[in-house]
Amino acid sequence: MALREPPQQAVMLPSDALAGRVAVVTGGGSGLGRETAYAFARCGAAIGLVGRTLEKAQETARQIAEETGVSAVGVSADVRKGDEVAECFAAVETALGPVSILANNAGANFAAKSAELSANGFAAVARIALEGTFIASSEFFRRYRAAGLTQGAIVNNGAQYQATGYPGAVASSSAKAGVATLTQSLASEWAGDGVRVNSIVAGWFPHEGSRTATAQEAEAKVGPRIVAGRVGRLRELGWLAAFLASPYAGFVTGQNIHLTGGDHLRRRPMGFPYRPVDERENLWESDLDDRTAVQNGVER
Amino acid sequence: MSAGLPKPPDQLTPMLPPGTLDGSSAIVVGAGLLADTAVDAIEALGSPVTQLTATDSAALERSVTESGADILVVCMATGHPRRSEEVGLAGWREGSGRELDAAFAAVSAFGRKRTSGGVVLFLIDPVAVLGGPGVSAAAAAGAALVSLAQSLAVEWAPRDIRANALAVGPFVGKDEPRVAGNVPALRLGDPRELAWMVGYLCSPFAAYVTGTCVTIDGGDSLKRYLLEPRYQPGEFLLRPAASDRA
Repeated sequence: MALREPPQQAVMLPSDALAGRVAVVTGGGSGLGRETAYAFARCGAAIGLVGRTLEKAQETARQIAEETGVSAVGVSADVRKGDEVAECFAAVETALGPVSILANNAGANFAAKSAELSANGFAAVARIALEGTFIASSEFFRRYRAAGLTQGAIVNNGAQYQATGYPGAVASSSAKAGVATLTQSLASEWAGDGVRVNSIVAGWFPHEGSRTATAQEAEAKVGPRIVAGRVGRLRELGWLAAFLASPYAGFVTGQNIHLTGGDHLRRRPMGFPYRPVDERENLWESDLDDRTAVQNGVER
Repeated sequence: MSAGLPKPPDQLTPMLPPGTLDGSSAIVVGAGLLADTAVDAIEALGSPVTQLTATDSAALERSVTESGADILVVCMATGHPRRSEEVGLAGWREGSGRELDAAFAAVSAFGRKRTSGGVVLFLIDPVAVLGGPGVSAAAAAGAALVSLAQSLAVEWAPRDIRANALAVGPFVGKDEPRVAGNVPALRLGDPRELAWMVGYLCSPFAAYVTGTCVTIDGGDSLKRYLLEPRYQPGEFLLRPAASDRA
């Protein structure tokens, strides 16, 4: 009762699809960013891995180099700070050469009622997602052009609530909506220079390193709530990221591509039970008994 | 001098592993570049393909029911620009309306026949997403298919049947004449690029991609300016000058 499991193999594209390219991945120390860095490396790209903590970024870069055989360096930056991001790019360029691929994966989020969310709290989440993506992208493009490159790709990190919002996530959802149109604006602005800009709108991809649950716990809890009947596998995200970065996607730009197992879709004409936020025990997760199914004779 | 988005190298290893679609079989409904490219892309990955061009709903329903295909690709034509007031019910029924009927008949039959495992892919024009003055019927029918993909994705996910739409912009070989210089990519799409995306969406590597509409158009559906050129009533009927055509 689920979408099938994807193939087991680690790499989808030919193993030299990104050979000779240098990719910078922000938020590369864990989760989707780490997977994206691995996916690029498995296709032959050298990796500049940007993490919040230098040691973790260097350790992940070392693992990537060891497991895939590409060159990889770890650097650290707060993506909200232009000078730190510029230093990272300079260090990666010095070590590996001009950068032609960027994956913007740095992100953060926490549940908060908007009336109780401070301006600083809003900024902490929104600025990493939106300003951070802008700062890294514009730094990337200046250096790309200065180096005389003619083909480049940016892969952003969207979220399915970028089009819907949801209670308790006003900072992240509005920032991701910003990333969605940033993707379109930059795609149109930089197409003439050979740079494509797309965004992966990822659904649930539990991973080790999440602060709230192990991948296994998250899967057991989340899988049954998703149309697909399962969570996403990290390699599925890696395949799409590498595809979008590669020449095989040479005519794909300005796209927000959903990889959600159907989780972004309206599940039925009648909505689900609604409980006002002040009455919720958990701001983000519904535990309401859904009585509507009984009347329709649906198996529960 | 801006060169636009580079065309992929002529010599490029096939994108997906050979035999990615071994064991599958496919039906492709439609004619023209989109359908032909889909046929080639799917065959190259190891799946036999039956191409059907008839838009007779009952015949199509029969063909899908009799076939064991687990991949169904339905392509929708766009046609030449025409004022909507001139199309009328008869025009709708002869054209996009008939194609939409056929598409629904085909996917509904596909859903009855497939007990487990399958892929539905609609190949449409980007006008389905943003409106298509001059081709309003095709745009409306294409939008219906985007919506259909979203609904089917939810209904059939438990049976491992995915449904997506791919909006295909200006490509070399499409019927509608296009000007390469009007596209942000500064070129038209190479049919190989369409084939790679079709291959991906039909393959098990896209096992978690369902209920989506992807556009492949070199940025053609993106805004170029805050203020676009002066609006001319009826401009949607204009055709590019022969000298400008790609």
